[in-house]
Parts: sequence; structure tokens; C-alpha cells
Amino acid sequence: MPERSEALLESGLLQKLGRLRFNLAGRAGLRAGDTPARRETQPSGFELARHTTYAPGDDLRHLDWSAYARLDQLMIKTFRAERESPITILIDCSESMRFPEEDGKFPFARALAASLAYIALQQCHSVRLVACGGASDDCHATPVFHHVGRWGQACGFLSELRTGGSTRLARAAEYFRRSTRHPCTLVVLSDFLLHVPEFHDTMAGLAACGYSLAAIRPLGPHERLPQLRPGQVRLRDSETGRERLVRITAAALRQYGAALDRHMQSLRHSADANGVRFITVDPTASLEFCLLSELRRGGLLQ
Amino acid sequence: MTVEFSRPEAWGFAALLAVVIALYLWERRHARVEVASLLLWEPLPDEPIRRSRFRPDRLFVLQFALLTLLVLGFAQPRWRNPGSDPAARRQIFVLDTSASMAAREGGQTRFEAAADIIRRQLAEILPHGRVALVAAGRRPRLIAPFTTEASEILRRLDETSPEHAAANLNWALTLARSLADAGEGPVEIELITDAAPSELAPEWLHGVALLPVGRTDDNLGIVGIEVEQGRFDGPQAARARVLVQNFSGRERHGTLRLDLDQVVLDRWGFSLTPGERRTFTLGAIPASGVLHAQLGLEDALEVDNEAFAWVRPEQRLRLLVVTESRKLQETMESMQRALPELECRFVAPSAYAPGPDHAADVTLFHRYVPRELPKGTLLLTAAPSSSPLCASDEKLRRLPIMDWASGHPALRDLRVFPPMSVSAPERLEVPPWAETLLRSRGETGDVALAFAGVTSGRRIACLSFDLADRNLLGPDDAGLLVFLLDLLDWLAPADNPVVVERSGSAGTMLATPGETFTVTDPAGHVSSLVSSGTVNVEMPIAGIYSLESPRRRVRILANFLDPQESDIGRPARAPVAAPASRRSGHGSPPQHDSFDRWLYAIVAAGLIVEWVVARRTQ
Repeated sequence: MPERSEALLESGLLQKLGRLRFNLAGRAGLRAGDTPARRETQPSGFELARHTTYAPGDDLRHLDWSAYARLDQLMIKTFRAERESPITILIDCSESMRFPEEDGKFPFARALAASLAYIALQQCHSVRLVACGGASDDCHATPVFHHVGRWGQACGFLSELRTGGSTRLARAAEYFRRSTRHPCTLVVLSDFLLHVPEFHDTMAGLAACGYSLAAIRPLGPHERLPQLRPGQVRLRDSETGRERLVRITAAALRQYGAALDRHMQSLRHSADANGVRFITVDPTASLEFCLLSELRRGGLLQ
Repeated sequence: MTVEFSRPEAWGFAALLAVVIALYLWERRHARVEVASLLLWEPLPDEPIRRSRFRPDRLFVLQFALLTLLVLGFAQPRWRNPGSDPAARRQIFVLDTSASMAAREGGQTRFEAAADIIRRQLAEILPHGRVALVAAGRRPRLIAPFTTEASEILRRLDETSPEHAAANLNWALTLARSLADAGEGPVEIELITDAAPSELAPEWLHGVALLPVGRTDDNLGIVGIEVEQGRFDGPQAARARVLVQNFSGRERHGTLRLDLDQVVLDRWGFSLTPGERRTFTLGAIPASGVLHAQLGLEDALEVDNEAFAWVRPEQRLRLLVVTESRKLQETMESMQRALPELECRFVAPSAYAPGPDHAADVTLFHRYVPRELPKGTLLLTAAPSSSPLCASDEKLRRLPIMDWASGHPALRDLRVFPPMSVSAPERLEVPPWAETLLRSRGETGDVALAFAGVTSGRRIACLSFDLADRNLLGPDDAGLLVFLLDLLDWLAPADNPVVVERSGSAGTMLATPGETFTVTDPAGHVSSLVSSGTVNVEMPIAGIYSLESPRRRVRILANFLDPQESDIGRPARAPVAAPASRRSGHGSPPQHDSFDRWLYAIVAAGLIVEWVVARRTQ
């Protein structure tokens, strides 16, 4: 079980999570299956979308005799396509998620993923978890869970995740596209420590495929302001292993902070441009605060 | 000015500097931080690897400097005059070992405090300089000649302790000065004492560094003890007197106990005002023995809280009077009746012959000297002028007694000899072994009227005038009678197995040459002395000394009776100012000025700065 999932076991918090709903661009319905697919119709259903000219082979049960009477033309009714729309939660398991250790980004991301999965299952959404990176530096996914009774399996999947490898958002996006037939909601939990153009291109590609996207970036106080002693320090990249010898001074830390702010701002701009909800959360804060405040403020939950 | 180090071995601590550098390098080596990504650290410039091998920051430099200063302080640096040779520096410590230095205050005696002062200074002087140690006691002595070995000085110091006597400080300083003059190079003489500067001769007030010790005046002491007991008196007729004085500046209470051979005779409680003296008297002493007076109180000095005296047993004196004078015989018989301890026998000169029949303690020859003198003690009066012992003129004149040897035991009871004249020859040959007891002045100069001395192991006295011509029992000759009795006492002293002396002195006792004595001092130490005709016993401490030989046993009661030494608070009341400079010495000014304390102060200040720098750096 993820570390933070112990808190989820508390009935008080679970009850609060049960009242939360995913806010998927206003298209989420209240009834089961009430999730229309964009620009798609289906032969049967409850809501009439449009009429099409009868072609041999169409289901005669959907002939609109009233239209035939009026128009003296055989017309077939088509209905608004109600697709099953799973929520995919993609969790970044690259090595960078482990640092700084004091912030606890990865444990928080696992707990958050578990929480979001619970919320989605409570809402009768289908949920799938995808992890990219880790020891095998590859992507792994769970089956689609339809019932909240499967939440335990989701937690079990999350608890076995470990960090490793490098951040490959593009590869994760490719995996996601290949493994998903229909557009759905994708929530990405990552520190997005990659070049902004790569982020932009990936998000743009996913958005073009019709996915509803949300990006959650855990950013803790130690990552904002590293607690490094003045003097020469050998910095080592946790993913690539590359090292650089730098001199830590107050000015150097200010430079780092400015670089972080620029990076975050660039990611936000790129996300906005692609219709992606970009939300920054504090992994050192409580999970309840993140779910009930930060994600609601960010528009992902309501 | 150059710098030298008193403790160069402290430079071994410099190895800590290497530890600091190693720690710094180790910390630097492990200053590797893993970050999520170097992406956000791109803007920072790279540090060149080669120059980063060892590049100390200001905090390291400050810490290194502080540690260096601390090590420097441990080495005890000092300035040195370029012209002086540190090895030539000499220091003479003159240590007061008088009885008052045994006064206890602040948990230690004054002597222990003085020894601590010397020990501390040894660390500064040795091993480059040389140190000598002089003990200023009753007889100052050099207890440690110049040496560079601290262990030797310390050992001699441990073997030294205060004496039970006053110190002769001027003599000790003279000894130190002669020791200083005997060598070359500058020397400093330091006197550590509880005496007032006014007790020093003026020449020392500016030539010696005076280091006073001791402040308290809390002392009561026995300043006198005596037993009045005539030669012919038994214990019942004796009277004991003990004099006690309060030397402190406040009223003190106590008790005085008087024991006779450890049997309590009497006990008094008393209160004495500051400076008050009081005499305690005890008569009708039941028996002979050692009288022990002891004060029961708590004060700073213990040595003067007890004293001893001797109550003699009755002892007869056998006097053989060889005379034809009926008058003299009647006079002596009268004396015998008055003094039961005086046993007189009378024999005419014609019937006298030396031998056991005529054995006596004293043989008095009146107007007669035998050809063969007996071997015992002799008293000659009005001896024939041609006698070999008391050769004189035949002509007699009336001569007044004008002078007398007041220090002689035969005249101890006569402070002033009553004015009288005697008929005596104008010239009496006084042998070289004798001392003139009574003197007059004639036409040709001084005239001896009586002499006494010791020759060939026996005591002999000679009176040039005729005792038979005197009325010894009359009031006019009372002084002469006292003189005669005291002379008899001196000629044949009571077989006194106990002698009373003053501690710090040396007692002399007649003994057979070759006679070996075992001496036990009050501390129980045993030594051996062989007589060369006399035996000299040193008595540095108060108490009872026992001398035993196969033939006899003698005890010496050594008393510490010195009001000046007992007045341990006298230096505080001395009006004379202390010497001008405490460190002024015989020779050149001090060449050494240690500045290690300054270094410690700088390090302490530096630590504060280092803390501030570290905080700012963080």
C-alpha cells in the first residue's frame, strides 16, 4: 500500500473523497455511462443525435417512420454516442521523482494517484493506472478497473512502484495512445523535469487526439530552495548520472530559483496553450489539503 | 626581541592542523549532492576541477588561524631580550620555614601555600633557567643548589617542613645573596614569607622580591611555662606557672589543662580579650614528673598550644666540709637544719684523705687545699695563695663586689648582687677553663673574687674570700647565702634526667666520650649519637626527646615559646609599606614576558567572530 494510503483508510477522509468529483471539462454526467463521446454517434441510445439516410444493412428497428411519412424517405435515427470514458492516471516513476528526498514527491504522487483512483471509481468512472519509468525504465499499466471494489488492486499496483530511469514523457504519451482506443481523461503526475519543447510537443499531440488532460506537478520547499552548504559542491543528476562542479553561494541559489520559476512558467504557458490543466501541489502538505483545496482550486476536482 | 617557547613540546598539537585540513578535504570530497535534474542548474557556471582541489573558504581560514593561535598559546611563547641567554637565568627561592608558617587557613598551611607558589613558578623558569632553594629557619640552609631539574626541587620541597622556631630571614637572604654572587648571570631572589617587611633589614627591602603569604591572626598560645622549684625543694614546694596569650583580634575562649605524667592535675576555662595575657598557677604538686600544659581550642597554629615542664623529685646534696673553723661548721649545720636536702659532713684537714670514706657530691676545702685533690667536685674558699688551683696574692684587701656573671647558673636567683665588700686578695689567677663569677676593681685593675668552670670532667669553683668571715645566716649576707646555695647546685646539679629547652635550638649534654645514645624525637624517629665528651641534640620540633645509653636515660622537653612567632597576624598590622616592586630582583629586570594569555583572549574573540561568519555563511 502506498505510504499515504494509510491515511485513506481513515473513514473520515474517505467520506470526504467520496463527495469529490472529477471535473472533466463540463462533460461529465451524473448518471452512469453518461459520458458522451466527442463527435461520435451510435445506432442506439437514449438521446437522438441526428437522422441518416437508410443504407442497406442498417438496423431497421431504428427507422424513423415519422420522418418517412413526412419526407417520403427512409431515414435511420442515430443516437449520441455514450462511450465508457476511463480516467487514466499516469504516474512518473523516473529517478528524478525521488529527489529531493525531504519533499517526498514520489510517495506523495503514489498516494495522490490512489486517491484520484478512489474518487473516479466512486463516481463509477473506469480507472486505469499507468506507470512509466521505474526499475525496468518502461511503462506498465493496470487493467481498467470499473468498480470501487477494485481499488485495493490499484493500491497494490501503486505500492510496488519504484523510481528509476529517466523522464520520457513522449514515450509515455506514445504508450498511452497505443493502449487507448478512445479519447479519455489523462491525469499525469510528474515533476516534468524535461525541456519545455518536449513537454509542449507531447501535450499538443495528446490534445490533438482528443484527450482531456491534466498535469499535476509536485513541488516541495526543498526543491524550491535547496538546503546546500556554501562552497564547492558536486551536483549529480539523478537520472543521467552526469555531474557538475558548481560553487554554491547565495547568488547561485537565487539563479537556481529564477530558473525554476522560468521553467514552471513555461510549462504553464505550454499547458494553457494545449488546454491542459496544470496544477502545482505541495507534497509536504497533507493529502487532504491537496485534494480538497489545491486540486479543487486547480479545477480538476469539484 | 625574539620569541622563545616555554613548552615547545606543545607544538605536537600542531598535528591537529593537519586533522582540520583532512576533515576539510574529506568534507569537500563528500560534498556530492544528488539532485532531481541538472536542468535547472544550467545557469550556474562550472567550477574548474583543478583549482578546486584545495580552495579553502574564509571560514576554514578563520578556523585554521584560531587553531594555530591556540597551539601557539599552549607552547607558552614569551619575549626574550636578545642579549640574554635564557639558560643563564637564575632564580633563588627563599622559603620561610618558621613556626608561624604552619598556621592553617583556607584549608592549607601557609607553608603549603608557599610551596604551591614555588611549584607554579617552576613551570615558567625550568628547564631553561636554574633554580635554587633556601630554607629560612632558625639556621638557614641551602636545601637545593642551582638545578635545572624540577623533580629535584620538588623532592627537596616535599622533604622540607616548618620548624618550631623563629626564622632568621636576614641571614637566609645573606646566604641567598652569596649563592647568587658565586655564579654568573642575572639572578632573582624571591622571599616567600608571612613576616612583615619591617622584620627585614633595610638592604633587602628593595633588593628582594617579597611574596607575602598568610592573613589570619586567629591564634592563642602558651607563651611561657615554668616550675619554681629550688635545688633543695621537693615537688610539694614547687609552683607551676603557665602564661597564655590571645593574639587574635577578637575575644577567644578555651580551656587549659595541666597533666602530670598524663594524670590531670587541674583544668581552667577562660575567656581572653584581644591581646590579653593571663597566668595560671598551680601549687602543691603531688609528685615529680613531666608537667604537660595543653590548650583546648581550635585556632590556626597548633604548635604553641602545648608546653612541658619538669617537676624534680627530692634529691639530696652531700657536702663534705674540710675545715678547722668551728664557725663555718656551725653555719653549715644551721643551713642543714633549714634545708633537709643538704647533708653536711665535717672533717678536719689533718684527718682528710681522698677516698671512699670521704666521698661526697661536693667537697668544700676551707683555707686548705690537699696535695692530692680528690676526683669529685670541689669548692675552694680562702685557699692558700700558693695552691695550684686558686693562686693569689697573700695580701688581703677590702674589695667591693662590683660585677658578676649574671648569666651563670650560680647567679640565676640574683638579678642584682647586693652591695657588699669582702676581704680578698688583690689578685686571683683565673684558669683558662674557668669563668669569673664575681669581680671587683683594685689598684691594678679588675680583680676576680670568684670563678668556676669545668676541667678534667669535673666542676670546680673557687672563692677568694673566706666564708667563715661572713655571717651567711644574717640579713646582710642573704645574697651571699643564695649565691653559695646556687653555686652548690651548679657544682652538684641534681641528677636531672629531664632537661627543658626551646624547640629549634640544639641542646648540649656532658657525656663520657664514646658513649652511644639512641635518640628518639617527638615524631618517633630514632637516630644514634656518639659522645665526644659532649652530646649535641638538634631539636627542630617541639615535644619530648628521649636519649638513652646503656648507662642512663635523659629526656629533653623542647618547648615552642615564642610570642612573636605565635603572633601570626603581625604582618597585617605592620605599618611599613611593602617593597616597591614585587618582581624586582637582584640583577637585570625580568627578561621574559609571556604573552600566551593574550593569544587565548584572541582565540576567544575569534571564536565569536567564527560563529558570526558561520551563521552568515549558512
